[in-house]
Amino acid sequence: MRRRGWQLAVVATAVVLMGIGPGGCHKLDHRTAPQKLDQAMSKAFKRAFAAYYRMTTERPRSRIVSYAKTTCHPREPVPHSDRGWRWFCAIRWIRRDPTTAGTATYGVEVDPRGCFQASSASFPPRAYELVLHRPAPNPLDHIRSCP
Amino acid sequence: MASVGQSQALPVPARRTALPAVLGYVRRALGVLSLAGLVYCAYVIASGAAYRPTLVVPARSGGFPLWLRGPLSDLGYFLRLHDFAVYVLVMLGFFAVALLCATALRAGWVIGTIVVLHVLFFLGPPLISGDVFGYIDWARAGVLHGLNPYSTNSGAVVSDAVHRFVQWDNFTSPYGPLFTLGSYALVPLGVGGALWALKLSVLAASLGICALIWATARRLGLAPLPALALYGLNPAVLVYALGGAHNDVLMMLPLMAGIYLVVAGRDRVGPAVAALAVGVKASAGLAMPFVILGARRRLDALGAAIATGVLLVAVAFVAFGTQAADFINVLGTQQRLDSGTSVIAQLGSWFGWTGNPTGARVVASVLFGLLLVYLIARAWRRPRDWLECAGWSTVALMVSTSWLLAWYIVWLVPLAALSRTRWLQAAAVGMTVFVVAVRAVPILD
Repeated sequence: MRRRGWQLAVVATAVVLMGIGPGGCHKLDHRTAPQKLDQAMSKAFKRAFAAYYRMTTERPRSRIVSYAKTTCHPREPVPHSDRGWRWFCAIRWIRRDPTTAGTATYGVEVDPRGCFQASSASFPPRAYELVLHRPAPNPLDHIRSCP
Repeated sequence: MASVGQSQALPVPARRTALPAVLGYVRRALGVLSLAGLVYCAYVIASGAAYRPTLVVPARSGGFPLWLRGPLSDLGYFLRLHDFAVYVLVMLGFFAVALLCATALRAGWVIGTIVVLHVLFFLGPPLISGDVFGYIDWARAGVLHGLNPYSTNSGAVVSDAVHRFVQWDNFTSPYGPLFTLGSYALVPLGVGGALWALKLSVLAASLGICALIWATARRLGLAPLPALALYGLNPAVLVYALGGAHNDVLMMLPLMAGIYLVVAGRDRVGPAVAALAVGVKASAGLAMPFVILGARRRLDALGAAIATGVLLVAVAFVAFGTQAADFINVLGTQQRLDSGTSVIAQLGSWFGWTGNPTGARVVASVLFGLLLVYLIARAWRRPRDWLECAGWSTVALMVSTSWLLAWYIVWLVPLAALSRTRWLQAAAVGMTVFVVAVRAVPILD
Protein backbone atom coordinates (compact mmCIF):
# COMPACT_ATOMS: atom_id res chain seq x y z
CA MET A 1 0.00 0.00 0.00
CA ARG A 2 2.79 2.38 0.92
CA ARG A 3 4.53 1.76 -2.40
CA ARG A 4 1.28 2.25 -4.29
CA GLY A 5 0.80 5.56 -2.47
CA TRP A 6 4.15 6.81 -3.77
CA GLN A 7 3.34 5.71 -7.27
CA LEU A 8 -0.04 7.45 -7.20
CA ALA A 9 1.53 10.64 -5.83
CA VAL A 10 4.15 10.80 -8.57
CA VAL A 11 1.75 10.01 -11.40
CA ALA A 12 -0.74 12.57 -10.06
CA THR A 13 1.99 15.22 -9.80
CA ALA A 14 3.16 14.55 -13.35
CA VAL A 15 -0.39 14.65 -14.72
CA VAL A 16 -1.17 17.90 -12.88
CA LEU A 17 2.06 19.55 -14.02
CA MET A 18 1.54 18.54 -17.65
CA GLY A 19 -2.09 19.57 -17.45
CA ILE A 20 -1.42 23.10 -16.19
CA GLY A 21 1.11 23.65 -18.97
CA PRO A 22 4.53 25.26 -18.80
CA GLY A 23 5.02 28.40 -16.75
CA GLY A 24 6.05 31.40 -18.84
CA CYS A 25 4.94 29.82 -22.12
CA HIS A 26 1.69 30.28 -24.04
CA LYS A 27 -0.10 29.20 -27.18
CA LEU A 28 0.45 31.46 -30.21
CA ASP A 29 -2.69 32.40 -32.09
CA HIS A 30 -1.10 34.35 -34.97
CA ARG A 31 0.94 33.08 -37.91
CA THR A 32 3.18 36.03 -38.64
CA ALA A 33 3.38 39.82 -38.80
CA PRO A 34 4.86 42.12 -41.48
CA GLN A 35 8.09 42.91 -39.62
CA LYS A 36 8.60 39.28 -38.61
CA LEU A 37 8.10 38.02 -42.15
CA ASP A 38 10.35 40.81 -43.52
CA GLN A 39 13.22 39.64 -41.32
CA ALA A 40 12.62 35.94 -41.93
CA MET A 41 12.39 36.46 -45.68
CA SER A 42 15.61 38.55 -45.74
CA LYS A 43 17.49 35.76 -43.91
CA ALA A 44 16.01 33.06 -46.14
CA PHE A 45 16.91 35.04 -49.27
CA LYS A 46 20.53 35.51 -48.14
CA ARG A 47 20.74 31.79 -47.44
CA ALA A 48 19.19 30.91 -50.81
CA PHE A 49 21.58 33.27 -52.61
CA ALA A 50 24.54 31.68 -50.84
CA ALA A 51 23.23 28.26 -51.94
CA TYR A 52 22.92 29.53 -55.54
CA TYR A 53 26.50 30.89 -55.40
CA ARG A 54 27.74 27.58 -54.00
CA MET A 55 25.85 25.67 -56.66
CA THR A 56 27.30 27.62 -59.56
CA THR A 57 30.86 28.17 -58.27
CA GLU A 58 31.42 25.29 -55.77
CA ARG A 59 32.66 27.90 -53.30
CA PRO A 60 30.93 28.19 -49.90
CA ARG A 61 30.31 31.82 -49.07
CA SER A 62 27.48 32.33 -46.61
CA ARG A 63 27.80 36.14 -46.64
CA ILE A 64 27.84 36.69 -50.38
CA VAL A 65 24.77 38.97 -50.03
CA SER A 66 25.73 41.95 -47.91
CA TYR A 67 22.32 43.61 -47.84
CA ALA A 68 18.77 42.38 -48.34
CA LYS A 69 15.88 44.69 -47.45
CA THR A 70 12.49 42.99 -47.64
CA THR A 71 9.04 44.56 -47.58
CA CYS A 72 6.06 42.20 -47.28
CA HIS A 73 2.32 42.83 -47.46
CA PRO A 74 -0.58 40.40 -46.94
CA ARG A 75 -2.67 39.84 -50.07
CA GLU A 76 -5.72 38.65 -48.14
CA PRO A 77 -7.06 38.42 -44.58
CA VAL A 78 -5.83 35.53 -42.43
CA PRO A 79 -7.59 32.36 -43.65
CA HIS A 80 -9.66 30.53 -41.05
CA SER A 81 -8.60 27.15 -42.39
CA ASP A 82 -5.06 25.67 -42.39
CA ARG A 83 -4.42 26.72 -46.01
CA GLY A 84 -1.51 29.04 -46.77
CA TRP A 85 -1.91 32.77 -46.05
CA ARG A 86 -0.84 34.63 -49.22
CA TRP A 87 1.63 37.52 -49.00
CA PHE A 88 3.69 39.53 -51.48
CA CYS A 89 7.32 40.37 -50.74
CA ALA A 90 9.77 42.65 -52.56
CA ILE A 91 13.51 42.36 -51.83
CA ARG A 92 16.23 44.88 -52.67
CA TRP A 93 19.58 43.17 -52.44
CA ILE A 94 23.31 43.90 -52.85
CA ARG A 95 25.92 41.17 -53.33
CA ARG A 96 29.69 41.27 -52.96
CA ASP A 97 32.53 40.51 -55.44
CA PRO A 98 31.57 42.00 -57.82
CA THR A 99 29.23 44.41 -56.09
CA THR A 100 25.89 44.08 -57.82
CA ALA A 101 22.43 45.28 -56.80
CA GLY A 102 19.06 43.90 -57.80
CA THR A 103 15.41 43.58 -56.93
CA ALA A 104 13.36 40.40 -56.62
CA THR A 105 9.69 39.80 -55.93
CA TYR A 106 8.16 36.72 -54.31
CA GLY A 107 4.68 35.36 -53.88
CA VAL A 108 4.64 33.90 -50.37
CA GLU A 109 2.38 31.43 -48.55
CA VAL A 110 2.56 31.35 -44.76
CA ASP A 111 1.39 28.18 -42.99
CA PRO A 112 -0.30 28.09 -39.55
CA ARG A 113 3.08 27.71 -37.77
CA GLY A 114 4.55 30.79 -39.44
CA CYS A 115 6.73 28.89 -41.92
CA PHE A 116 6.59 30.01 -45.52
CA GLN A 117 7.14 28.98 -49.12
CA ALA A 118 8.16 31.76 -51.52
CA SER A 119 8.19 31.56 -55.32
CA SER A 120 9.71 34.09 -57.69
CA ALA A 121 9.84 34.79 -61.39
CA SER A 122 12.85 37.10 -60.90
CA PHE A 123 15.37 34.26 -61.33
CA PRO A 124 15.72 31.44 -63.85
CA PRO A 125 14.03 28.26 -62.57
CA ARG A 126 17.17 26.16 -63.07
CA ALA A 127 20.89 26.76 -62.59
CA TYR A 128 23.99 24.72 -63.45
CA GLU A 129 25.21 22.65 -60.48
CA LEU A 130 28.96 22.53 -60.99
CA VAL A 131 29.72 19.65 -58.61
CA LEU A 132 27.27 17.32 -60.42
CA HIS A 133 27.87 18.75 -63.92
CA ARG A 134 24.16 19.17 -64.62
CA PRO A 135 21.35 21.74 -64.28
CA ALA A 136 19.25 21.61 -61.09
CA PRO A 137 16.41 23.67 -59.54
CA ASN A 138 17.61 27.18 -58.70
CA PRO A 139 17.46 27.70 -54.91
CA LEU A 140 16.44 31.34 -55.48
CA ASP A 141 13.40 30.31 -57.52
CA HIS A 142 11.63 28.57 -54.64
CA ILE A 143 12.46 29.23 -50.98
CA ARG A 144 11.15 27.31 -47.96
CA SER A 145 12.00 28.51 -44.48
CA CYS A 146 10.75 29.49 -41.02
CA PRO A 147 11.31 32.53 -38.78
CA MET B 1 7.64 -2.64 37.71
CA ALA B 2 8.88 -4.47 34.72
CA SER B 3 6.21 -2.89 32.64
CA VAL B 4 7.09 0.52 34.03
CA GLY B 5 10.77 -0.08 33.25
CA GLN B 6 9.97 -1.02 29.68
CA SER B 7 7.77 2.01 29.21
CA GLN B 8 10.57 4.28 30.47
CA ALA B 9 13.20 2.64 28.24
CA LEU B 10 11.22 2.67 25.04
CA PRO B 11 11.27 6.43 24.19
CA VAL B 12 15.10 6.60 24.06
CA PRO B 13 15.65 4.29 21.02
CA ALA B 14 12.51 5.74 19.45
CA ARG B 15 14.05 9.24 19.57
CA ARG B 16 17.31 7.91 18.13
CA THR B 17 15.62 6.33 15.12
CA ALA B 18 13.06 9.07 14.48
CA LEU B 19 15.40 11.66 12.95
CA PRO B 20 17.12 9.33 10.41
CA ALA B 21 13.72 7.95 9.45
CA VAL B 22 12.35 11.43 8.87
CA LEU B 23 15.47 12.45 6.97
CA GLY B 24 15.17 9.33 4.81
CA TYR B 25 11.54 10.15 4.17
CA VAL B 26 12.40 13.75 3.22
CA ARG B 27 15.21 12.59 0.93
CA ARG B 28 12.93 10.15 -0.78
CA ALA B 29 10.20 12.77 -1.19
CA LEU B 30 12.69 15.31 -2.58
CA GLY B 31 14.14 12.67 -4.88
CA VAL B 32 10.75 11.70 -6.25
CA LEU B 33 9.83 15.36 -6.75
CA SER B 34 13.10 15.99 -8.59
CA LEU B 35 12.41 13.02 -10.89
CA ALA B 36 8.92 14.36 -11.60
CA GLY B 37 10.41 17.82 -12.18
CA LEU B 38 12.93 16.45 -14.68
CA VAL B 39 10.16 14.69 -16.61
CA TYR B 40 8.03 17.83 -16.58
CA CYS B 41 10.86 20.06 -17.88
CA ALA B 42 11.77 17.48 -20.54
CA TYR B 43 8.16 17.36 -21.68
CA VAL B 44 7.94 21.17 -21.88
CA ILE B 45 11.21 21.42 -23.84
CA ALA B 46 10.52 18.57 -26.28
CA SER B 47 6.90 19.51 -26.98
CA GLY B 48 7.54 23.27 -26.96
CA ALA B 49 10.42 22.99 -29.41
CA ALA B 50 8.11 21.06 -31.74
CA TYR B 51 5.16 23.45 -31.43
CA ARG B 52 6.50 26.48 -33.33
CA PRO B 53 9.79 27.08 -35.17
CA THR B 54 12.25 28.97 -32.92
CA LEU B 55 16.01 29.22 -32.44
CA VAL B 56 15.80 26.07 -30.29
CA VAL B 57 15.66 24.04 -33.52
CA PRO B 58 18.31 25.45 -35.91
CA ALA B 59 17.23 23.14 -38.76
CA ARG B 60 13.95 25.07 -38.99
CA SER B 61 15.73 27.41 -41.43
CA GLY B 62 14.93 24.78 -44.07
CA GLY B 63 11.25 24.49 -43.10
CA PHE B 64 9.38 22.77 -40.27
CA PRO B 65 7.68 19.69 -41.73
CA LEU B 66 5.97 17.11 -39.52
CA TRP B 67 8.82 14.64 -39.90
CA LEU B 68 11.15 17.26 -38.38
CA ARG B 69 8.76 18.38 -35.60
CA GLY B 70 7.86 14.89 -34.44
CA PRO B 71 4.71 13.58 -32.77
CA LEU B 72 4.70 16.08 -29.86
CA SER B 73 4.15 19.14 -32.03
CA ASP B 74 0.44 19.62 -31.24
CA LEU B 75 0.88 19.23 -27.48
CA GLY B 76 3.32 22.02 -26.77
CA TYR B 77 3.39 25.73 -25.97
CA PHE B 78 5.43 28.49 -27.56
CA LEU B 79 8.99 28.00 -26.28
CA ARG B 80 11.31 30.92 -26.91
CA LEU B 81 15.07 30.48 -26.58
CA HIS B 82 14.83 32.35 -23.26
CA ASP B 83 12.24 29.88 -21.94
CA PHE B 84 14.37 26.98 -23.16
CA ALA B 85 17.38 28.31 -21.23
CA VAL B 86 15.27 28.68 -18.05
CA TYR B 87 13.94 25.14 -18.29
CA VAL B 88 17.42 23.65 -18.88
CA LEU B 89 18.74 25.49 -15.82
CA VAL B 90 15.76 24.27 -13.77
CA MET B 91 16.54 20.75 -14.98
CA LEU B 92 20.07 21.26 -13.69
CA GLY B 93 18.62 22.04 -10.24
CA PHE B 94 16.40 18.95 -10.27
CA PHE B 95 19.39 16.88 -11.41
CA ALA B 96 21.46 18.08 -8.44
CA VAL B 97 18.66 17.21 -6.00
CA ALA B 98 18.13 13.81 -7.63
CA LEU B 99 21.85 13.02 -7.29
CA LEU B 100 21.87 13.97 -3.61
CA CYS B 101 18.79 11.82 -2.97
CA ALA B 102 19.64 8.96 -5.35
CA THR B 103 20.48 6.43 -2.62
CA ALA B 104 17.06 6.98 -1.00
CA LEU B 105 15.18 6.26 -4.24
CA ARG B 106 13.90 2.97 -5.55
CA ALA B 107 15.89 1.69 -8.53
CA GLY B 108 12.69 1.13 -10.48
CA TRP B 109 11.73 4.78 -10.19
CA VAL B 110 15.10 6.05 -11.37
CA ILE B 111 15.27 3.59 -14.26
CA GLY B 112 11.68 4.36 -15.26
CA THR B 113 12.36 8.10 -15.19
CA ILE B 114 15.50 7.68 -17.29
CA VAL B 115 13.57 5.71 -19.91
CA VAL B 116 10.76 8.32 -19.99
CA LEU B 117 13.29 11.18 -20.31
CA HIS B 118 15.06 9.39 -23.14
CA VAL B 119 11.80 8.73 -24.99
CA LEU B 120 10.68 12.38 -24.61
CA PHE B 121 13.87 13.75 -26.15
CA PHE B 122 13.74 11.08 -28.84
CA LEU B 123 10.23 12.18 -29.82
CA GLY B 124 11.14 15.89 -30.00
CA PRO B 125 12.85 17.70 -32.90
CA PRO B 126 16.69 17.96 -33.07
CA LEU B 127 17.58 20.53 -30.40
CA ILE B 128 20.14 23.37 -30.51
CA SER B 129 22.17 21.82 -33.31
CA GLY B 130 21.66 20.75 -36.91
CA ASP B 131 24.68 18.40 -36.87
CA VAL B 132 22.48 15.39 -37.53
CA PHE B 133 21.69 16.83 -40.97
CA GLY B 134 25.41 17.13 -41.60
CA TYR B 135 25.70 13.36 -41.03
CA ILE B 136 22.83 12.76 -43.48
CA ASP B 137 24.31 15.23 -45.97
CA TRP B 138 27.66 13.40 -46.18
CA ALA B 139 25.89 10.05 -46.41
CA ARG B 140 23.73 11.24 -49.30
CA ALA B 141 26.72 12.89 -50.99
CA GLY B 142 28.51 9.55 -50.89
CA VAL B 143 25.67 7.23 -51.86
CA LEU B 144 23.53 9.33 -54.21
CA HIS B 145 26.13 11.59 -55.79
CA GLY B 146 29.34 9.54 -55.68
CA LEU B 147 31.28 12.12 -53.65
CA ASN B 148 33.82 11.21 -50.98
CA PRO B 149 32.82 12.63 -47.54
CA TYR B 150 36.52 12.90 -46.64
CA SER B 151 37.33 15.13 -49.60
CA THR B 152 34.00 16.95 -50.08
CA ASN B 153 32.90 19.86 -47.93
CA SER B 154 29.51 19.55 -46.27
CA GLY B 155 26.62 21.14 -48.15
CA ALA B 156 28.34 20.60 -51.51
CA VAL B 157 25.24 19.29 -53.31
CA VAL B 158 22.86 22.22 -53.13
CA SER B 159 20.09 20.49 -55.08
CA ASP B 160 19.92 17.62 -52.56
CA ALA B 161 16.78 17.48 -50.40
CA VAL B 162 18.81 17.69 -47.18
CA HIS B 163 20.75 20.83 -48.14
CA ARG B 164 18.26 23.36 -46.77
CA PHE B 165 18.55 21.81 -43.28
CA VAL B 166 22.38 21.66 -43.24
CA GLN B 167 24.15 24.25 -41.09
CA TRP B 168 27.78 23.56 -42.06
CA ASP B 169 29.39 24.45 -45.36
CA ASN B 170 33.16 24.46 -45.13
CA PHE B 171 34.74 21.26 -43.86
CA THR B 172 35.08 17.60 -44.74
CA SER B 173 33.81 14.79 -42.55
CA PRO B 174 35.60 14.55 -39.18
CA TYR B 175 33.91 11.23 -38.35
CA GLY B 176 35.27 7.72 -38.43
CA PRO B 177 34.73 5.26 -41.29
CA LEU B 178 32.46 3.00 -39.22
CA PHE B 179 30.04 5.84 -38.60
CA THR B 180 30.20 7.05 -42.20
CA LEU B 181 29.57 3.57 -43.61
CA GLY B 182 26.73 3.06 -41.11
CA SER B 183 25.14 6.35 -42.16
CA TYR B 184 25.31 5.19 -45.80
CA ALA B 185 22.83 2.43 -44.91
CA LEU B 186 20.25 5.06 -43.91
CA VAL B 187 20.18 6.87 -47.26
CA PRO B 188 17.40 4.71 -48.81
CA LEU B 189 15.11 5.88 -45.99
CA GLY B 190 15.05 9.44 -47.32
CA VAL B 191 15.94 12.54 -45.28
CA GLY B 192 13.13 12.17 -42.72
CA GLY B 193 13.62 8.41 -42.40
CA ALA B 194 17.37 8.83 -41.94
CA LEU B 195 16.80 11.48 -39.26
CA TRP B 196 14.52 9.20 -37.24
CA ALA B 197 16.76 6.19 -37.77
CA LEU B 198 19.69 8.21 -36.40
CA LYS B 199 17.58 9.45 -33.49
CA LEU B 200 16.53 5.87 -32.74
CA SER B 201 20.16 4.70 -32.91
CA VAL B 202 21.21 7.43 -30.47
CA LEU B 203 18.32 6.56 -28.14
CA ALA B 204 19.24 2.87 -28.18
CA ALA B 205 22.94 3.69 -27.70
CA SER B 206 22.23 5.94 -24.74
CA LEU B 207 20.02 3.34 -23.04
CA GLY B 208 22.76 0.81 -23.81
CA ILE B 209 25.28 3.06 -22.06
CA CYS B 210 22.91 3.18 -19.06
CA ALA B 211 22.81 -0.63 -18.96
CA LEU B 212 26.61 -0.83 -19.27
CA ILE B 213 27.13 1.71 -16.47
CA TRP B 214 24.86 -0.38 -14.24
CA ALA B 215 26.57 -3.66 -15.10
CA THR B 216 30.11 -2.23 -14.85
CA ALA B 217 29.38 -0.51 -11.53
CA ARG B 218 28.17 -3.83 -10.09
CA ARG B 219 31.30 -5.58 -11.37
CA LEU B 220 33.44 -2.92 -9.71
CA GLY B 221 31.54 -3.23 -6.43
CA LEU B 222 30.09 0.29 -6.70
CA ALA B 223 26.51 1.29 -5.97
CA PRO B 224 24.94 1.16 -9.45
CA LEU B 225 22.03 3.55 -8.82
CA PRO B 226 24.02 6.77 -8.17
CA ALA B 227 26.30 5.87 -11.10
CA LEU B 228 23.31 5.44 -13.38
CA ALA B 229 21.68 8.66 -12.14
CA LEU B 230 24.82 10.69 -12.92
CA TYR B 231 24.49 9.76 -16.60
CA GLY B 232 20.81 9.00 -17.19
CA LEU B 233 19.36 12.05 -15.42
CA ASN B 234 22.07 14.45 -16.64
CA PRO B 235 20.42 17.42 -18.40
CA ALA B 236 23.43 18.10 -20.64
CA VAL B 237 23.39 14.48 -21.83
CA LEU B 238 19.62 14.50 -22.31
CA VAL B 239 19.03 17.93 -23.84
CA TYR B 240 22.16 18.37 -25.93
CA ALA B 241 23.60 14.92 -26.74
CA LEU B 242 20.36 12.95 -26.98
CA GLY B 243 18.15 15.91 -27.98
CA GLY B 244 20.54 16.80 -30.78
CA ALA B 245 21.00 13.15 -31.88
CA HIS B 246 24.79 13.52 -31.75
CA ASN B 247 27.02 10.65 -32.81
CA ASP B 248 29.14 11.17 -29.69
CA VAL B 249 26.57 8.92 -27.97
CA LEU B 250 27.10 6.28 -30.65
CA MET B 251 30.86 6.59 -30.07
CA MET B 252 30.50 6.02 -26.33
CA LEU B 253 28.54 2.76 -26.67
CA PRO B 254 31.44 0.56 -27.93
CA LEU B 255 33.83 2.37 -25.60
CA MET B 256 31.67 1.58 -22.58
CA ALA B 257 31.14 -1.97 -23.82
CA GLY B 258 34.92 -2.35 -24.09
CA ILE B 259 35.36 -0.97 -20.58
CA TYR B 260 32.79 -3.42 -19.23
CA LEU B 261 34.58 -6.31 -20.93
CA VAL B 262 37.98 -5.23 -19.57
CA VAL B 263 36.51 -5.00 -16.06
CA ALA B 264 35.05 -8.49 -16.63
CA GLY B 265 38.54 -9.77 -17.45
CA ARG B 266 38.16 -10.06 -21.21
CA ASP B 267 41.60 -8.63 -21.97
CA ARG B 268 41.50 -9.14 -25.74
CA VAL B 269 37.84 -8.62 -26.63
CA GLY B 270 37.47 -5.56 -24.39
CA PRO B 271 40.14 -3.36 -26.00
CA ALA B 272 39.13 -4.61 -29.46
CA VAL B 273 35.51 -3.52 -28.88
CA ALA B 274 36.62 -0.22 -27.33
CA ALA B 275 38.80 0.49 -30.38
CA LEU B 276 35.67 0.33 -32.54
CA ALA B 277 34.65 3.61 -30.86
CA VAL B 278 37.59 5.29 -32.61
CA GLY B 279 36.03 4.13 -35.87
CA VAL B 280 32.93 6.13 -34.97
CA LYS B 281 34.78 9.26 -33.85
CA ALA B 282 38.48 9.69 -33.16
CA SER B 283 37.84 11.47 -29.85
CA ALA B 284 37.44 8.03 -28.26
CA GLY B 285 41.17 7.48 -28.86
CA LEU B 286 41.93 9.48 -25.72
CA ALA B 287 40.53 6.68 -23.53
CA MET B 288 42.29 3.86 -25.39
CA PRO B 289 45.65 3.92 -23.56
CA PHE B 290 43.81 3.61 -20.26
CA VAL B 291 41.60 0.77 -21.49
CA ILE B 292 44.76 -1.11 -22.50
CA LEU B 293 46.48 -0.32 -19.20
CA GLY B 294 43.38 -1.48 -17.33
CA ALA B 295 43.65 -5.00 -18.76
CA ARG B 296 45.41 -7.64 -16.72
CA ARG B 297 47.39 -8.89 -19.72
CA ARG B 298 48.42 -5.60 -21.25
CA LEU B 299 50.35 -6.98 -24.21
CA ASP B 300 47.33 -9.02 -25.27
CA ALA B 301 45.13 -5.93 -24.88
CA LEU B 302 47.55 -3.80 -26.89
CA GLY B 303 47.68 -6.41 -29.65
CA ALA B 304 43.89 -6.63 -29.84
CA ALA B 305 43.51 -2.84 -29.96
CA ILE B 306 46.19 -2.53 -32.67
CA ALA B 307 44.56 -5.33 -34.70
CA THR B 308 41.21 -3.52 -34.57
CA GLY B 309 42.93 -0.25 -35.49
CA VAL B 310 44.62 -1.86 -38.49
CA LEU B 311 41.28 -3.31 -39.57
CA LEU B 312 39.62 0.11 -39.26
CA VAL B 313 42.34 1.81 -41.29
CA ALA B 314 42.06 -0.91 -43.95
CA VAL B 315 38.28 -0.47 -44.15
CA ALA B 316 38.69 3.30 -44.32
CA PHE B 317 41.28 3.13 -47.11
CA VAL B 318 39.29 0.61 -49.14
CA ALA B 319 36.03 2.54 -48.79
CA PHE B 320 37.28 6.13 -48.94
CA GLY B 321 40.94 6.19 -50.02
CA THR B 322 43.85 7.77 -48.19
CA GLN B 323 41.91 10.97 -47.42
CA ALA B 324 39.93 9.04 -44.80
CA ALA B 325 42.99 9.22 -42.53
CA ASP B 326 42.14 12.87 -41.86
CA PHE B 327 39.45 11.83 -39.39
CA ILE B 328 42.20 10.72 -36.99
CA ASN B 329 43.35 14.33 -36.77
CA VAL B 330 39.95 15.61 -35.63
CA LEU B 331 41.16 16.67 -32.19
CA GLY B 332 44.07 18.63 -33.66
CA THR B 333 41.75 20.28 -36.18
CA GLN B 334 39.25 21.23 -33.52
CA GLN B 335 41.96 22.78 -31.37
CA ARG B 336 42.38 25.37 -34.14
CA LEU B 337 38.68 26.27 -34.01
CA ASP B 338 36.86 28.54 -31.58
CA SER B 339 33.50 27.45 -30.17
CA GLY B 340 33.22 30.56 -27.99
CA THR B 341 31.92 28.35 -25.17
CA SER B 342 35.24 26.82 -24.12
CA VAL B 343 36.77 27.16 -20.68
CA ILE B 344 39.63 29.18 -22.22
CA ALA B 345 37.16 31.65 -23.75
CA GLN B 346 35.34 32.02 -20.44
CA LEU B 347 38.61 32.58 -18.54
CA GLY B 348 39.13 35.52 -20.88
CA SER B 349 36.52 37.52 -18.98
CA TRP B 350 38.80 37.27 -15.91
CA PHE B 351 42.17 37.63 -17.59
CA GLY B 352 41.16 40.12 -20.24
CA TRP B 353 41.30 38.28 -23.56
CA THR B 354 38.61 37.59 -26.13
CA GLY B 355 37.93 34.15 -27.62
CA ASN B 356 40.80 31.65 -27.65
CA PRO B 357 44.07 33.56 -28.24
CA THR B 358 47.03 31.54 -29.53
CA GLY B 359 49.08 31.98 -26.34
CA ALA B 360 46.29 30.62 -24.14
CA ARG B 361 45.71 27.72 -26.53
CA VAL B 362 49.40 26.78 -26.53
CA VAL B 363 49.63 26.93 -22.73
CA ALA B 364 46.43 24.85 -22.42
CA SER B 365 47.69 22.29 -24.94
CA VAL B 366 51.06 21.93 -23.21
CA LEU B 367 49.40 21.53 -19.80
CA PHE B 368 47.01 18.96 -21.27
CA GLY B 369 49.91 17.04 -22.81
CA LEU B 370 51.85 17.00 -19.53
CA LEU B 371 48.79 15.89 -17.57
CA LEU B 372 48.04 13.16 -20.09
CA VAL B 373 51.59 11.79 -19.76
CA TYR B 374 51.27 11.88 -15.96
CA LEU B 375 47.90 10.09 -16.05
CA ILE B 376 49.18 7.39 -18.40
CA ALA B 377 52.21 6.87 -16.15
CA ARG B 378 49.93 6.70 -13.11
CA ALA B 379 47.63 4.14 -14.77
CA TRP B 380 50.76 2.16 -15.72
CA ARG B 381 51.98 2.06 -12.11
CA ARG B 382 48.57 1.70 -10.46
CA PRO B 383 46.31 -0.39 -12.71
CA ARG B 384 43.47 -0.05 -10.19
CA ASP B 385 43.17 3.65 -11.11
CA TRP B 386 42.85 3.27 -14.88
CA LEU B 387 39.19 4.33 -15.06
CA GLU B 388 39.81 7.39 -12.91
CA CYS B 389 42.82 8.31 -15.07
CA ALA B 390 40.69 7.97 -18.23
CA GLY B 391 38.09 10.24 -16.65
CA TRP B 392 40.60 12.86 -15.55
CA SER B 393 42.24 12.90 -18.99
CA THR B 394 38.79 13.66 -20.45
CA VAL B 395 38.29 16.44 -17.91
CA ALA B 396 41.69 17.83 -18.91
CA LEU B 397 40.77 17.71 -22.60
CA MET B 398 37.45 19.44 -22.00
CA VAL B 399 39.08 22.17 -19.95
CA SER B 400 41.95 22.77 -22.39
CA THR B 401 40.20 22.53 -25.77
CA SER B 402 39.16 25.65 -27.61
CA TRP B 403 36.29 23.74 -29.25
CA LEU B 404 33.99 22.66 -26.43
CA LEU B 405 30.39 21.85 -27.28
CA ALA B 406 27.73 20.98 -24.71
CA TRP B 407 27.18 17.45 -26.01
CA TYR B 408 30.86 16.56 -25.43
CA ILE B 409 29.79 16.03 -21.81
CA VAL B 410 28.85 12.54 -22.93
CA TRP B 411 32.59 11.75 -23.29
CA LEU B 412 33.09 12.33 -19.57
CA VAL B 413 29.98 11.43 -17.59
CA PRO B 414 29.92 7.63 -18.19
CA LEU B 415 33.59 7.40 -17.13
CA ALA B 416 33.01 9.57 -14.06
CA ALA B 417 29.97 7.48 -13.11
CA LEU B 418 32.27 4.48 -12.67
CA SER B 419 34.81 6.34 -10.58
CA ARG B 420 35.67 5.11 -7.10
CA THR B 421 36.40 8.65 -5.94
CA ARG B 422 33.87 11.42 -5.47
CA TRP B 423 36.26 13.98 -6.95
CA LEU B 424 35.87 12.81 -10.53
CA GLN B 425 32.10 12.65 -10.14
CA ALA B 426 32.16 16.18 -8.73
CA ALA B 427 34.26 17.26 -11.73
CA ALA B 428 31.70 15.71 -14.09
CA VAL B 429 28.88 17.56 -12.34
CA GLY B 430 30.99 20.73 -12.50
CA MET B 431 31.56 20.30 -16.25
CA THR B 432 27.83 19.62 -16.67
CA VAL B 433 27.01 22.88 -14.91
CA PHE B 434 29.63 24.67 -17.03
CA VAL B 435 28.48 23.43 -20.46
CA VAL B 436 24.83 24.17 -19.61
CA ALA B 437 25.42 27.54 -17.96
CA VAL B 438 27.86 28.83 -20.58
CA ARG B 439 25.08 28.51 -23.16
CA ALA B 440 22.01 29.27 -21.04
CA VAL B 441 23.12 32.23 -18.93
CA PRO B 442 24.04 34.57 -21.85
CA ILE B 443 20.55 33.98 -23.28
CA LEU B 444 18.99 35.16 -20.02
CA ASP B 445 21.10 38.36 -19.83
